[in-house]
Amino acid sequence: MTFDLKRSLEGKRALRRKLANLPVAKKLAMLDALRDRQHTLREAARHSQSAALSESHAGGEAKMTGSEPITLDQPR
Amino acid sequence: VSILQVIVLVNQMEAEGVIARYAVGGAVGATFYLEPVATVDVDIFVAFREQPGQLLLSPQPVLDYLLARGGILEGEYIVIAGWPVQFLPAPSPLVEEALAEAVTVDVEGAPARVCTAEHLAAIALETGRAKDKARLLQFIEAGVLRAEVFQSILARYNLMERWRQFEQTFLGGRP
Repeated sequence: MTFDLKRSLEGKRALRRKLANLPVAKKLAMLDALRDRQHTLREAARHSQSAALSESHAGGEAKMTGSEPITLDQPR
Repeated sequence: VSILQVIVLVNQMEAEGVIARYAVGGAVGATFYLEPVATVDVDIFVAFREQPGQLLLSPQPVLDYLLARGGILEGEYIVIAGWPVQFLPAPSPLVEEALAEAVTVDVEGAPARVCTAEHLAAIALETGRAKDKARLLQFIEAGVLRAEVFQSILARYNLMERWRQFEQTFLGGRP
């Protein structure tokens, strides 16, 4: 690891080249995994939102103002 | 869930004559040449079979085929093996050529037909949304485009002026 920006950018390019050169089947499997991850994040966000909504419907104190950070492990 | 399952089913659909020809495009197509490009859907260009007595091409046979095999209709998409898939008739002569000249790539024993890198890059230039421009830059940076082939596509489909603008904006006029 380095804090040298030039070397960091070269490292990024090298990683992209390495990924691009993987067998197609492996790259498609990575797309599957990326999509699963996005799906998980979306579901978690949806649960967080519905939990926040039900808390706000339940009564004043727990109401979200919109400024709180939303985390994936919010209590429901 | 797997994109490969989608490709296998589309091959089957072509073999059984439901569609005349297909080619994978979009981010999934680009992934055949670049690093994996995260996407939420699969774009498949198709040439539909002409139905006797019908002047307009209908996607109905494709829908019937896929719904009978577990596909789920969701708006403009049909969900296959967990992936929302869009079947797109070629919207321009460039995409028609991309479909006709698509190449077959072996993916673990399954043939997958995909647009060439040059066609995908030209389609990105023609479409011109921010994400298309980003994809075109990826193609250029990865050095996977055959310059002569790409230039001749741009010339054939009147994209030279658009390319010049793209070059000036993103490549600092670099040839």
